[in-house]
Amino acid sequence: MTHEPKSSRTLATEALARVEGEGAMRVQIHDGRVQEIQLNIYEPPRFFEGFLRGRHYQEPPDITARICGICPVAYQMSACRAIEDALSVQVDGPLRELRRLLYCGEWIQSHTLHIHFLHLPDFFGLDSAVELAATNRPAVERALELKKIGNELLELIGGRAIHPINVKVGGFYRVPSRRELLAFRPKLEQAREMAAEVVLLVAGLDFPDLEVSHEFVALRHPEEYAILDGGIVSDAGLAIAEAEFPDHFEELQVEHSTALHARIRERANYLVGPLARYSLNSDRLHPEAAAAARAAGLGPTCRSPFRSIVVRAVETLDVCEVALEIVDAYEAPDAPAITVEPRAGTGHGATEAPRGLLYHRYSLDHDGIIADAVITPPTSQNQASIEDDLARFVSLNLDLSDDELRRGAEVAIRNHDPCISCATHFLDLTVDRS
Amino acid sequence: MSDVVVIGLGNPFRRDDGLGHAAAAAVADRLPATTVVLLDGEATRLVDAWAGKRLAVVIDAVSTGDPPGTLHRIEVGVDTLPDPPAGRSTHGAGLATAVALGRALGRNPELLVVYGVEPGDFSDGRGLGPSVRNALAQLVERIVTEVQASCA
Repeated sequence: MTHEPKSSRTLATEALARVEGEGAMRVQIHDGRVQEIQLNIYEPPRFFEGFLRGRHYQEPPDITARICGICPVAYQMSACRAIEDALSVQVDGPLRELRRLLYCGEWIQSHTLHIHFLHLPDFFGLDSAVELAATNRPAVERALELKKIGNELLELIGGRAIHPINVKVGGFYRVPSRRELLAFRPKLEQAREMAAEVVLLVAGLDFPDLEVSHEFVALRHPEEYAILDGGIVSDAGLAIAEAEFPDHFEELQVEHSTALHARIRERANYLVGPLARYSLNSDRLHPEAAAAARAAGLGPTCRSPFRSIVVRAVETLDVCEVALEIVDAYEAPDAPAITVEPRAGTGHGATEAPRGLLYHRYSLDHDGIIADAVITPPTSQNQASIEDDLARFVSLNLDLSDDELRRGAEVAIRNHDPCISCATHFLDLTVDRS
Repeated sequence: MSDVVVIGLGNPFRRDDGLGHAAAAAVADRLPATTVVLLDGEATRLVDAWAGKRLAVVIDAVSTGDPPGTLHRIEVGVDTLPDPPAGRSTHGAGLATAVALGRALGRNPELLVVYGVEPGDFSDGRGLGPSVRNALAQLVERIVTEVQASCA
């Protein structure tokens, strides 16, 4: 970091802390104005879309799971749904419910990780969850237990917690018996209890007065708090089917990032993730989660990036309730998967990864070989909006020292739980005050 | 031996980084009554794996600059582990972070020993390189001897 005259500053963070993956941040300030903000995502390009070409249609759930160790299920589910769309088949009934249940496990472990290990230390002025463990041991112990239950649910349905191996186009390789799921019920009840305690913990934090005006984009389902499927909606009136995603959204290459940016063609950048999801779907929360949200001070919408920690906690409680309902109603299907036959076509699939909307598109030839693949992860879509948040934070806080400014800017980024590794195609802060 | 856990760490798709899993599997064959766990190194799962144990043996590739195939034994609390990468990406939160987190939570085993072999090849692909492959039998023998001695 350089320290130049107040009228001219450059702040640089060479490696962003407590985010998933690696990136940097550079802020240039001239005559008291922010000249340029860049999130530099420098993880090397990963070429997943490229090496999916020529692969069999049954391979993407296992290949794309490798994009992320935190949210592999999101990749598996978007991949399956896109390919099933291309093959004109629909997975419903108990197989769909098992997919939702698997996704609940991922939300529990991913949200619990971000809340406690990445985000919560910021609210106590701490640098890590290890420091938090020293000052608030019960919270970290509870987080470990809650995360573990999420992992165990992933193992039960997916075969293992990281990069599950039991997911296939059409359903699963093996499905659990009703008895197996009912045996897991006490752990889900324990998870629900702990998730409710987490909502109370984060509701009591001090939140800065900051709201964002980005257009919110998320899935919306007629009856459920959308995770696995639904139409794509925004608070600016967008209401489209998944297949229309390419008509309304475009990806852009920018020089300072190995991750593509994204924008709504008709307008500008937008935000996906918990704030968008909650604001567009709070009326679809499970009654217990909705009551917890109200008690935690959330209205029907939430535009405070800092309060996203409360939204994540409410969503964790919600998926615990959903998981219990799925377990109670479950009857094992006749077969672990429906039969699918290869055919030429293009399919679209969007699901709600913990960090937001995740869109996949595949084009298959008549043998079911992939001719083209497009994967649009949540962090890619959020980069431009995160840069806007950074610019706003820095503009409002130019009187801070470089160190204070850098710390605040990192918090502004962590609010959005970016997954750089997923997006790469991310963080160090450079502030240039010139 | 229920109060002992042997934990193999690493990534079998990166050549010599697969030595932890390979050695742990060989220990499981020799000591069927011992709990053996294969993990990728993520800190919270590591703490879960060794919490409440009297002895935890962690096996991983250990890079110090010694010649490939060199055996290492590091006793946590006696020997020095590298400082945890404080405040960095969660993707770098591994063994050192797990030790620090476990210590803060009082969840570390009574004795935590890291056994490792100096790697020579972290390139893509399965299978150990010749230096690590040749060292594997001796590594497994030392771990089996230490676990058996601790239970005697």
